[in-house]
Amino acid sequence: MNKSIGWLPAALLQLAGCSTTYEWGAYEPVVLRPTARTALGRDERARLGAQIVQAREKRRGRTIPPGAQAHVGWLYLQTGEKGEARRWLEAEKQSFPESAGLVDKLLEGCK
Amino acid sequence: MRAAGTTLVCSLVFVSCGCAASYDWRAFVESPPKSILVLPVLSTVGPSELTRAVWTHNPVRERQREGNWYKTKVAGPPAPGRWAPVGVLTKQLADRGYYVYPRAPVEDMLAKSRLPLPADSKDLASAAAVARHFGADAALMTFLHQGSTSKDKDGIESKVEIEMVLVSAAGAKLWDAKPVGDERTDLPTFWGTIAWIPGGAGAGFVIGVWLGMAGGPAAIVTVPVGAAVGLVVGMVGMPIVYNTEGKEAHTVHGGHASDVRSWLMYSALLKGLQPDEHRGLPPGPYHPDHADELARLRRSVPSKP
Repeated sequence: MNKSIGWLPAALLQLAGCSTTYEWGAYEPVVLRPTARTALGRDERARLGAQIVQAREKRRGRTIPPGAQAHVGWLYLQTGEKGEARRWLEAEKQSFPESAGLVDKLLEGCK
Repeated sequence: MRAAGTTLVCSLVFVSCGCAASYDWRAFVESPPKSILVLPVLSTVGPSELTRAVWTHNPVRERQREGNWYKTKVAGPPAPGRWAPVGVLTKQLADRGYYVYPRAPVEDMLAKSRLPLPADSKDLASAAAVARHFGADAALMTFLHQGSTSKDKDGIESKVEIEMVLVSAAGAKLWDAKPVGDERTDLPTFWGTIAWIPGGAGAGFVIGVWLGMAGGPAAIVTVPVGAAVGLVVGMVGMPIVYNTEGKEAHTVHGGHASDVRSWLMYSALLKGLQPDEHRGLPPGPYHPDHADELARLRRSVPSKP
């Protein structure tokens, strides 16, 4: 048996709610929620959006976690606000080029 | 609070999967993925109580009520199911430097697309099809293979076995791991109960003095009285609370509480992803160690004959 505890410090950090790479902030409870069906809609959208805008202003968006902007865009898409949705989805694509596949798929619904 | 802290830290025993010393990184270094789509957790065992406990796992809620973790039962609406652990994986993979597809839009779109989800860990084609549908480089399949709880006269033991497979969009297996989460909790023993007497007495004394100080001019009376009452109450109360709560966790709920068992899965998932000498998932493109680690893995792959 190979007993290694190399995972422990990172696991403890994780349990303490710390993250080394991104500032998760309001996006963390969104990610950790058991299911997307309990989406909070407008309230969540406003909070998350404000936080991302703030992060952009302060640190040029380096600490926005992947998927946060796409999530906001998706929430706008749910209420049919296609212009706003497009703006957020394009922002995600700019921050993370890897998101192109998902963003393009979501943008199909924008037309 | 006490129970959560001591039991989770002291009695947690993680048994590594005892994997082979070398791992074949050939497929991984040939096409290192940049983006990962996390598929919902699938169970290869029936919907047991343990499976339900794992599926209703909610780390946010768990953190809010960790004070009485052992009293929590599976209750409320039907299990949100296999999407519950996806959030933990999403966050962990993102912090490991990968672009992870946001889970809520993916959950929504996957339900609408009606694409079949992989049935078992050998079904790489279905996972690759989902990855291609969303334009992701790779898809992560997670399977809950087995969960068991066994009781003996000294305590209970629970185990969760997980298999994680990272499949490229082309259908190749890039990486896999089989982490196991294992926890043992012992019943309160006679000497364990006795050991709580000094702690309870000390805590009671301090609280008694603190309350007594609010007596103002009468503090000369209220402080000693508070100290004496606190000492006695703490000395008697703490061992009783420890004993009854510990027994309740075993007898009333017939095993580990749902949150503990889902915590097992949570920690097993974390363990599976952690950088291990041979088996952890290598850091992704947004991680500072990405290039170095990839170069190291490339060197470890024997060159083609």
